[in-house]
Amino acid sequence: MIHWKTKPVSQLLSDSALSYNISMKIDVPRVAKLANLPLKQEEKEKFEKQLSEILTYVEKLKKVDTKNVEITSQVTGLENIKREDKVIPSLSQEEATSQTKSQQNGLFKVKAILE
Amino acid sequence: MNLNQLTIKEAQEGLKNKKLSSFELTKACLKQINKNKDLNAFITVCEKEALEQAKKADELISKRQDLPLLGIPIALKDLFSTKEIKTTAASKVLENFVPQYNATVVEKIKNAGAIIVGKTNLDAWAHGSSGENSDFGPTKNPWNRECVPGGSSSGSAVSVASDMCLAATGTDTGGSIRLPASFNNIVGLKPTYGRVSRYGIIAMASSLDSIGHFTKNVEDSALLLNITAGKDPLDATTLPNPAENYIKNLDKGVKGLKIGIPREFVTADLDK
Repeated sequence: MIHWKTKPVSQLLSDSALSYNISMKIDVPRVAKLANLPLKQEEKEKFEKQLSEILTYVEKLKKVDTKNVEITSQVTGLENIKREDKVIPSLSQEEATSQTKSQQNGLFKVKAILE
Repeated sequence: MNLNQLTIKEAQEGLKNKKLSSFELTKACLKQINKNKDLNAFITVCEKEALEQAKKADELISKRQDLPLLGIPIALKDLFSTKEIKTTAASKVLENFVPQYNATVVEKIKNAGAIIVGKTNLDAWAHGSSGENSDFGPTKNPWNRECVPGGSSSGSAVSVASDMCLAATGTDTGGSIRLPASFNNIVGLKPTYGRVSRYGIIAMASSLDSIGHFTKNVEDSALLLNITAGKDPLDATTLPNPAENYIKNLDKGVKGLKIGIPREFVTADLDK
């Protein structure tokens, strides 16, 4: 049994997004903009309903009595795995960019994200 | 009995005693794949490359080279990166993706002398548990085409159950090996998290993904884990303690061992 020095599950749940008011609406237009997804008006309404249903469903977790349950955030107990800071062989620039359709001077070419 | 119906262990003995060649064995598997295209178990079949590899394996066998999987035809879930072989994760997004490197497990299996017969179908990005959610069409259950084969490692389980290969790799995050192994009546293994490297395998949930395989019996499963298990410098979550010899205790039986069955898994809702 691995014990973790952390908060009990019940407290984490109440700290987290799960404690959001379930009637809260998700800002679908904003999420869609961030994800670069063009959505029609009816899709926005559909997803808003679905996403809020998911939150309501997850809310059910709050009913579980987790007073004596320790959190399991990982199972191996490994921490801070490091390696020597040494250069090791890696893909060549040509190999690394071989699977992109859009490149320039051996670099990935993407749309500008900063204005 | 056809060669493709053999277990790994049986095939190894046949190869060693010159009762069969890797070329014949691989050909039998490819024939079975082509005969059962309606099961949709494969996204990519490496027919030419597999036969070339098999010829090379036969040469090595004739030179008495001893490798743990030499000449054995194996299929890989199409989530495992394979150098120079298309890797799609069953999504049209990666329809033309040809990785520049092998996943650690693929490297290990290849170094052990195995023949890669192809890449198997799955629920796209491993998101699913029925085998129906693939951009390349659903995988069918060989026992009954009206039933789902289970997923996400649907094609791998089906390919082993229908003798298209001797073993196949899979990944399990929330049942993706255990379900299809059960639905197809074969042996599936979800190893402990961190026991097998995740490097080069397209992630579903990195802190939960477990890399395993499907075989026709338990002995083959142990044999394959002997090859795939172990620490990998390219995956910091792999366990540092050395992998055990999983074959060692196979003949000792189960006396004294406890088997746990979660009560919730055996409910009245299950039919038959």
